[in-house]
Amino acid sequence: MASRIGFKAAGRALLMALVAAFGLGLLGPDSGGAQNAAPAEPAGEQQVSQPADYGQVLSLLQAQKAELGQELRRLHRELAAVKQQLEEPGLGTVFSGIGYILGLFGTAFFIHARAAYQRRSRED
Amino acid sequence: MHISDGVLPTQVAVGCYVLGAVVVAWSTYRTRGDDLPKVALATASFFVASLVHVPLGPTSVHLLIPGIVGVLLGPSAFLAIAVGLTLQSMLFQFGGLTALGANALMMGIPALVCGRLFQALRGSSRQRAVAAGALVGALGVALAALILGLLLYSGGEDFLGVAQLALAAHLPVMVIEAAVTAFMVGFLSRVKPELLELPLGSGRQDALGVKA
Repeated sequence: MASRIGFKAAGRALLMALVAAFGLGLLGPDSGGAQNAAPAEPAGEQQVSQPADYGQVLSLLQAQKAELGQELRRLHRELAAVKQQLEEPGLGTVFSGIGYILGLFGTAFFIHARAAYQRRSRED
Repeated sequence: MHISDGVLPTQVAVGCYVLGAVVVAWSTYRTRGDDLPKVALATASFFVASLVHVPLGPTSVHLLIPGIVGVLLGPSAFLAIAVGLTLQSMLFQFGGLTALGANALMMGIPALVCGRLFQALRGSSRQRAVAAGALVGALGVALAALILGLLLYSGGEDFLGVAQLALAAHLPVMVIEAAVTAFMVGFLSRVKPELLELPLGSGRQDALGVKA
């Protein structure tokens, strides 16, 4: 009994889904056509009002361009500052250089001291 | 004040390398083994001094301290400056490796001159030593600027123009270095005067009086 009701409900749902799909399928091309056709009219309206808007659009674009140019100049300045900062040797480089110097002269001093010590012990 | 790669003609760069190597060899020979720690200290100071920038309008110049190195080390100054400049050009990209000989001569010869001049002028009183220190401190930078002009003259630049420009740009550095050298000489002659004494004769003798 319960299964028969289940089948009935499923069949009804399937039918409704089919109808809905069919309806959408029919509506689809129709609404598409309506969308395609619709812009034709406003376009005509725009063409009429375009000459008046040109000046406004142009001034807007120019303002935007000036703003962007300023922003770009700021970025360039920052980039130059970063570049200069990168060229400056860091603390690590400075200390490594001092380390090289101390190591170099330390080795030389060690060799000198060892030779002096050996000379001295030979003389004693 | 560094000469970069490709500024000098090849013959001049090679000639400077040869001359610089000869002077380094002489300087090493004249260096006493017992003075090596002092040489190391002066080398490290010279190496780091180039990072102390003096702002000058839109640009900046840095300390050079050939005068101080010459006063402290005498004949060993050239060795110290050659080592310092080598590390500067490798680690800081100051001056090119091909122009290293020229840069060493430009900084090292003023240091040698300053060291000799300081010993001649210092006299026995501290005031006179301080005045001599101030003089050689400024003179070191001026001589370096003159040698820079001379070296760039070989590359086709106008000698007077370059020398004048370098001298004018380094006037603040000369003033600062004169003050620093005078202060250092005054301080050392009070605290540890033997640091200002330079060894006589060749370097082949150690503190124990043993000849090599």
